[in-house]
Amino acid sequence: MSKLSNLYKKDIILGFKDVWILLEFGAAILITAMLMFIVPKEIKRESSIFIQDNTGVFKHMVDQMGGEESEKGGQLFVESREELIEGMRKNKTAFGMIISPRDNNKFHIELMTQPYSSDAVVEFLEVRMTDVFSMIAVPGGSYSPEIFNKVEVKALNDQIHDDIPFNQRMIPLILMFIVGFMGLFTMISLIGQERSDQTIRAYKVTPSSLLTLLTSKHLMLLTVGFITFSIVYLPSVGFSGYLLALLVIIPTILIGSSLGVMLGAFFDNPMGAIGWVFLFMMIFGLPGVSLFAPVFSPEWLKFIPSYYTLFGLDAAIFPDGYSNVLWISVGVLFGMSAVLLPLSSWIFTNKLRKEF
Amino acid sequence: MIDVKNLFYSYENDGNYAVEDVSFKIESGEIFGFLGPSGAGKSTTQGILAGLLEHQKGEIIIDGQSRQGMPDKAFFNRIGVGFEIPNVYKKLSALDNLEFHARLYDVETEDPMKILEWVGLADSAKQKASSFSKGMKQRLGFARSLVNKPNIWFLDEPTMGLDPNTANSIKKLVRNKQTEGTTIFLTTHNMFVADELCDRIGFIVDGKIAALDTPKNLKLKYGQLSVTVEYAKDGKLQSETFGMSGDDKAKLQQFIGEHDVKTIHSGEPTLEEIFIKLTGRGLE
Repeated sequence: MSKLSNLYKKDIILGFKDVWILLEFGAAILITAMLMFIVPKEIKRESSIFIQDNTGVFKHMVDQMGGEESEKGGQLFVESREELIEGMRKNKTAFGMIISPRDNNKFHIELMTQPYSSDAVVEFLEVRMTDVFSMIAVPGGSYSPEIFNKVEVKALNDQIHDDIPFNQRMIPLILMFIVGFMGLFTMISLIGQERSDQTIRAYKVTPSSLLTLLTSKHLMLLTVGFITFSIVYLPSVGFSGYLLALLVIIPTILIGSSLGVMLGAFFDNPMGAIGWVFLFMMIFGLPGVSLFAPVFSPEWLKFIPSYYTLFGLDAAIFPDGYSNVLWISVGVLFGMSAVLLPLSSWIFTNKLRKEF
Repeated sequence: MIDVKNLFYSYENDGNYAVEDVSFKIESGEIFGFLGPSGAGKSTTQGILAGLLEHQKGEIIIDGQSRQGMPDKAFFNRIGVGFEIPNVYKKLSALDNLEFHARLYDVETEDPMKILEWVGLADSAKQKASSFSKGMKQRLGFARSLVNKPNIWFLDEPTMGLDPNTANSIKKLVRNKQTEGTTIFLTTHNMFVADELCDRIGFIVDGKIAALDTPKNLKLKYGQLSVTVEYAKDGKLQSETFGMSGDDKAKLQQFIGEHDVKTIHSGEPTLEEIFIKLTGRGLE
């Protein structure tokens, strides 16, 4: 027993100095801090309903009840379908309802939902609309539920594929991590290897520049990234959106590899930088929450490069007719890489000049 | 050819100098050596001249041209650097290492197989460097420093970790290169290498040069000749050492007359003895 306690004591002492264990504690603290201070306690659903009432019936009902037209109040009357859709795009918790004129004394109600609304929510809305309309005061009495001609439910983006398999939904996230930001870790490893083997010293006394050295590593990572991207993308998705997705992935790889160069300048082995790599991965993963739960879309997410990678890839792989998301993402990512590439090279060359 | 004046270097830029007010000249085609213990400033001085470290303070004049800041491409095209630690690409073969390195230069380079023959690695040309022994890696690093046919050659502990045979071939190669006109600046803490190879040696300790001259002059100036006499006494061989100055000569004569002398050997001082005498420190 004393031998066991002796070994345990030794392992505890050494373990608390081990990078992996420190990383585990650090990750736990970081995740807890994120849960407490960043992830909101509740996602406020200031739900609205945009209504295009072509009959005047619903507006009449609202006026009878003394309601005021306001977005915050819950309903907002619009004049056209386009205005309704635009409102729903801006407010990702909003629904839409288009009430068409009676056909044989019946209503035609078109309920518009967000693409990620669950079936349960939609059914609830159908029932609710039934209840609401049954209360409408019209000359000669109230309408019975049978007055409804049709309640048609449409998802907002009728050009999207209604049934995107969940495994395909994961592809943007997978591509971002495995292809896009894996370059971060790989670059640190490549530079770290050169520094720990001291081959970079031998390189420094040749007429070839450190910039050339870094460029070749970026190109190598782009090559590897292209192959990995194709391995993941083509069997899962096919050629649809391939080139557009590649256009998103290329600057993402360069951003990852540039960050890797910066870390490689300060750490001469990959394990030394592992804490930073872990931190970057956690930050880059945050926009993934917004991708799967669009109600969580704080503005500060847009400062994280992976936001544009994820939504750009999503737009490329699952096009919804709104191509501006894709091109904005590509533009921002190329812009970020255009800044990070020279900055990282400058940091690296200056740091290495001061080292033997 | 290389003129260094009042060179200073501080790693932390805090006034603690690893190289302090070092001045020396290396003539064209000369083998010049820095002899000193670890941490003396030998490699740091060499690193500054080779462009590995930034030039902080002092003057460096190469072929009459004063260097400002980091060296240019032309300089790197004409120098070769052999490092103390074998820093080769372990996943590449010996031949691939040299071929890769050769392509980094803008000048004509030596045939890699020829260089590998010089260092005795021709038979292992296609083997990965990871399978090499330490001595083989050292030889490969040494070979790499010859790829661009340098006319200024920096060697940091060129024979360290090598067996005597290999060390001898390296020394022979160094001398051959000198006959071709290459200027060589080598650093070592091995007095035998310094004594054997260098035309002139600088003793360096704590970043400063304590003495600088040819090995012979250093010994004559600071050393003391001695004679060791072996004699038989009570059936056993014993020895006695005498100096060669003053009363010692008379004592030697008297001793020879009084004892059954078997052998007499003259000895000159070693560089290490002179180093210790001048600096108070050993070479290890």
